[in-house]
Order: sequence, then structure tokens, then C-alpha cells
Amino acid sequence: MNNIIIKNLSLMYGKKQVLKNISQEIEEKKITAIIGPSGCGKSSLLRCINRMNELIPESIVEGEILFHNKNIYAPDTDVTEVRQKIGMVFQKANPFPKSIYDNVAYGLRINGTKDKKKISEIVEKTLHDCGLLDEVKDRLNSSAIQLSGGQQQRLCIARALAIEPEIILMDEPCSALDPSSTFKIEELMMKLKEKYTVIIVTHNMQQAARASDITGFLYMGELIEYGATNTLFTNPKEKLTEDYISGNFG
Amino acid sequence: MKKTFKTGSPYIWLSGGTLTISLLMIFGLVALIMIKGLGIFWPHNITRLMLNDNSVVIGEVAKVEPIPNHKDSYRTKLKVGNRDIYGLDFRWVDNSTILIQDSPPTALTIERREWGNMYGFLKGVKHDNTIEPISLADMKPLLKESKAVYKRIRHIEKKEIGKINYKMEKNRLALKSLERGSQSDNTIEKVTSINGKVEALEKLYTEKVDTLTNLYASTKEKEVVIELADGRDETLPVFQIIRIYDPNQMSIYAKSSFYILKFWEFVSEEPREANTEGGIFPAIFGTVIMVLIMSLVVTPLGVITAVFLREYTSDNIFSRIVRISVNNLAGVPSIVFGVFGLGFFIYFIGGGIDKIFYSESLPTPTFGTGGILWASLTMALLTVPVVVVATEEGISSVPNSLKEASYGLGATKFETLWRVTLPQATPGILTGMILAMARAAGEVAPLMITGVVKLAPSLPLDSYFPFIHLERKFMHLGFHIYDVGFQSPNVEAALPMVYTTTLILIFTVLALNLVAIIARNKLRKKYVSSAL
Repeated sequence: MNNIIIKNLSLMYGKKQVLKNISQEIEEKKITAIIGPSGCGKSSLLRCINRMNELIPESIVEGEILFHNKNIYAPDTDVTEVRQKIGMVFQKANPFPKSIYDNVAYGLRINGTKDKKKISEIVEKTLHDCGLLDEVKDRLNSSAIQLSGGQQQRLCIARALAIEPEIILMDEPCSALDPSSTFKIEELMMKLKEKYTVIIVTHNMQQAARASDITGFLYMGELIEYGATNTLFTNPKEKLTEDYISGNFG
Repeated sequence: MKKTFKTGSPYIWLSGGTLTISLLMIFGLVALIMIKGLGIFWPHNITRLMLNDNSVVIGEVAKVEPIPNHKDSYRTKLKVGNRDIYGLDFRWVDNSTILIQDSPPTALTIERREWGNMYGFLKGVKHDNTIEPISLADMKPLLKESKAVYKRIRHIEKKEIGKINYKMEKNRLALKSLERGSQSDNTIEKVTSINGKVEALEKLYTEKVDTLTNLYASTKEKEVVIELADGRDETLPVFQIIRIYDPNQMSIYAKSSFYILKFWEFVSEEPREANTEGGIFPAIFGTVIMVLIMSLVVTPLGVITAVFLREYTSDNIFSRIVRISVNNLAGVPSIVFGVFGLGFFIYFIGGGIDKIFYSESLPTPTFGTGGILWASLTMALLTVPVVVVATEEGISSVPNSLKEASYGLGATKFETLWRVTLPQATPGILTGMILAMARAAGEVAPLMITGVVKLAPSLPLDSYFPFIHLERKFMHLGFHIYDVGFQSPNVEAALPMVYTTTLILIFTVLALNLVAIIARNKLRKKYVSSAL
């Protein structure tokens, strides 16, 4: 029920075609990694799943994405609801210039939660789930900007989790982080897949191999290969995939 | 030569030199205003000149300058005061005619309520036809007494009689609207009750006028005799004297405290004598209130316009035309806005308000004439482009990633705008406000036809409901400078006041801006963007 089905999805930025006729089902409560060379459309594909591409002028989407068997591009869909259910973590940590507490509470307040006690419970719980609570519990009211890069990124994950999405999209969440912060986030992802479906776009093939259950290889806007991570990395079906993961191009 | 140009150092010198010239000009301007403006409160020594035609003059030396086309000869400009007797405040003396020049220790400067300063020597208090000598120290209680009487008179004239007039006017208008309205059974009753009230008020008014007449009569009882430079005696009612002092005997300390007192008087009191004496408090007050009302109007207007241009329209012909028009609005001569304010705000809107809500007081206009509200609105219109441009800059400097984060959490466009974009753009908005305030505080031309007056009888803020009277005319520092410097009956004596008022105008703008700048810096610290 929970899974996402992408049907014949194409994306154009003006006259430039970015995604070509992609169809794929994404499995529930698994980590799906999307890999591919720069400019192949990985991030664009991810941003299609919660309709963030609409913020880019001149973007045209064709095809369907079914979430709970309902097309999220149907005219009667409430886009804010889609984005609440399908949360997103961005490449560069982008905490709001507010306090740590307010960052996590932002989504709750937007969605109309007024009960202060409930908000503070959820904030604490989400921060705990992200392993951040012990590090910041003394300074919940100080600015989130003062946190380190890795902490900021985990705060952004906590912020996305606070409104209880079903799917979490991660757009190269570790590309600006050092190895130990990256490790913490990967650990967190492992924990998250117990409850959420995680889709991660990554540049880093080791990360995809390490952390994901399923991998899709995207090249020039086309989904070349999709399958269990182990199989894809050890025994790719396509020549292009093999070339890419063995480092012959990209 | 070519080599030197290639190194680039001439350009550094050129740009550095230009900066230096600009700085020098600014410092020169401020220094000139400060020197000229801050001098007037200092108690200058009184000089006595004995001339070769056996006449004697005393007064403050205002200036010594060479006589044009005469080698090695100088002339002195002496402020001799006593305008009521000599006709002029100043007198030129050719230095070659001066026999003896000294500063008599007993010479006094007497500040009067009318006719400006008097210079002379105190002979004594007049009793019938005899003169009883009196010392300067003994004058103090007399002055204190007369000051109390003066305060009492002012209180009755402004507050008590003002209150009666205010109530009478209300009753008159009520009566008028009863007459014009439909007649009903209790109309006559109401009219009688109002007439009764009016009669009581009139009786109160006559009482007050009687008190005033008695008070005024009492002010003429005590008189002092002053000996002028030429030996003539002048009698002067004590009531006329504001302050009497002997600058030639004052210590530096006494002079300094005198200076501070005078300066405080200048910024806290009302003007006297057609604005050439006294303080400028109503002008400071009017300027500040006008600027504040203007900011309250222009900020939402400018911010909403900028939000629309930046967030809600795409880059099309329409938005480009709007943007160009808004920017061009900044270049329109300010008097054009004044004319627009007169035609649109005062005649059209103000006249309309009068017809609907104040019809009983017509043909006397209430809102249909210049007032602080219309002046502020005109100024808001004038400064809207500044706020729009600054806000647009502020909004465009908000990182896209923050907006995306907000959208990604399911926020709508408005929620993102309200909770993320606008708070982040606040420093930019405040910059716009600072520029707008500076412009509005300094602009005079549009005010002259939308509500500024030479002398406003009452402040736009007082104790009568609804406390803030937006329809009232007001005084403004910029206009005050123009009025005192070029329209006053005694330009020469008032000239130092022009500089001082200018200085106060600069300080007022500075103070208003400083508040906004401090607020902006605090916010900037709060919203330091993530620099990863």
C-alpha cells in the first residue's frame, strides 16, 4: 500500500528533457539508492516524488506517480499534503535561522498543532530518534546555525521526521560532510528504514553499496538498471552499469 | 609614464583622493553648522565702545571684518539690541572712530518676552516717582514671581479657555446637526439642554477672561529702570523680563551651565516672537510624529508591493513595467507629490470625509485642509519606491534552500513567506525604512502645501479625545529653517537660529535612524545565514 509507483514519468525543463519515460515501483520500508553520473537526473527524479520540481519555473511533468494508489499529480491533490507525507532532506544542510527547538517544531506549527506540550514531546522524541538530543539538550533554544555541519544535517532529518512522513527523500545528504558525520547519518538511515521508506540519491557508490537495499542506476534521464544492491554491484546486467560502477566513466 | 599607469597606483590615488574630498565636504558641512549653530547660546561678553563723536554704544561684538576697498581699516558689527528703541538689532561701527573699548562689569543682558534682548545697566525698582536701587541677586525673587504669573496666564489661555472653546464648538455643532436633522418630539428638549450648557460655558468663559484681565493688570505694577548706553533711562515691567544676567562677570562654569540651560530651553519650549526667539519643540515634535506616521504607512505598502513583485509575479512585461514605474517614481520632483497630495488626499478624500462625517461644521473644513495625516500620506507615497527596492533586495537575498526547506515540510507559499522569507528579509526592509525616514524628515516642499504651518496653535497629540488629532496642522523643522531664515521679520537676529535648527534637524534624523539601525543590527545577528 505504502509504496510508490512511478508510471511513465518524463520531466522537461523548458525544452530540455531531463527524465525519459521512467517506470518503477519502489519498495516499502527499504532504502533505495539512486546512483548515476552528474547531470543524469537523479535529483530531478527525487524532487518529482514530492512535487518540489514545481518550484522551478518552466518545469513540465508528464506521467504519473502513485502514492497510496493515488496520482500525486492529479489536479485535485493538495500539494502541501503530499510534501508532508513525503519528506525531504537536502544536499546542503538548511536549518532555519531559528532555535533548534523551533526548527523541529516548524512543521508541526505549520500543520496546525497548537498544543505546546505535545509539540515539545514530539520535538524531544524526534531529536532523540536522530541521536541529537544528548548533544543539544542544554541549548534547545540557541540558534541552529551554531551546530556543526553533521549536526545540522541530522537536525534537518529530525525536522522532516517531526511531522511523521511515510517516505523520506534524501538528496545527497552526506556530500558536504566528513566521514564520521557521514557514518552517523548512515547509521540513522538504517534505523529509519524500520519505520519509513527511504530514497537516497548519492554520488558515492560505496555509500550506496554500504547502506542501501535496492539500487537504481540512472543515466541520461533513463533508468538503466534497478535491483537488489548486492546483485547490481556484483553482477550488473547492463554494460553501462558495469562501466559506471567499475569507474570507467562518470 | 606608461609604466606608472600600468602599475595601477594612479587609480588608487584617484579613488582615494575622491573619497577624501567627499569626506572633507561632509565634515566641513557638519563643522560649519555646528560652529555657527552651537554658538548662539553662549553668553557673550558685553563690550562698551566710546566713539569720537562722544556717543557710547554697548552690545555684543558679532563680527569684525575689513572694510572693502579700504586698506588696513576694519569695522565692527555690534549687536546693540533694544529693538524697540533703536529700531534695529545691529549696528556697524568703523573701528577708526573708536576711542575707548572696554567691558564694563556691571553691564547686563536682559532677555525680554518681546522686542528681543536689551543691554544696559540696572538702576533700580520704580516706586511712584522714586527709584530704589536693587542688586542683581535681589531681582531673582521678582523674576520668579513674574514667571509664576506668566505660567498661570499661559495655563488659562491655552488649557482652560482652550477647553471651554472645545466644548462650545462641540455644542455648536450638535445644535447645528439638530437643526438640520429631522424634527422629533424631543428635539426641543435637546436644544434647550444644549443652550443651557452653552450659557454655563459662556459664564465660565467671562470669569476666566476677568481673571486674565486682572492678571495682566498685575503684571504692570512692578517696573525696573534700566540705564541705556547713552544715559537714557528706560522703564521695563518686571513681567517682560525672562532672564537677566551679567556676562562680563560670569565664570566659565556659570557660562557653561547657562549654556546648557539655554540649549534645553531651545529644544523643549515653544517659539516666541514670530519664531525668532524661544524654542522649537513643536517643530521637533511635528517632524518626529510625521515621520512615524509615514513609516507606519509606507512600510506595509512598500513591503507588500515588493512581495508581490518578487514572489507572486513571474518575470513578465507587466511586472517589468511596474518595477520600472516604481523606480521612476523615486525620481519625480517632490513638489509634484505635494500637488498630488493636495488634489487627491486633501480635496478629494479629505473633502469627502468632511461631507460625510463633519457636514455640520462646513464650510469650515476638518479633514479637507492640510494636516499631519495628509502630509504623512504624501510623504509615504514619495518614499514608497525606496522601501520597495530595499525590500526586493532583502527578499532576493534569502537563500532558496531555506524556502525549499519550508516547502518540503508542507508549508504553503504564504506560510513560507510569513515564517521564513519575511523574517529573513527584515534587515533589508529596515534599511528601506531608514532611507525613507531620512528622506521624509528632510523633505519640505510637499509639506508646504499639505499641512505645514509657520506656527501651529496646538500639537497633534493632546489630552482631548481621541488624543491624536491627525487633521491638525503641524510644525516641521525643515520648514522652520526656511521660515526663520527667510521669512522672519528679523532675519539678521534669527540667523544663528537657522543653523541651530538645522543642527537639531540633523540630530533628529540621526536619532530616528539610529533606532532603526540598532534594530536592524540586532535582527541581522539573529538571522545570520548558515555559511557552510
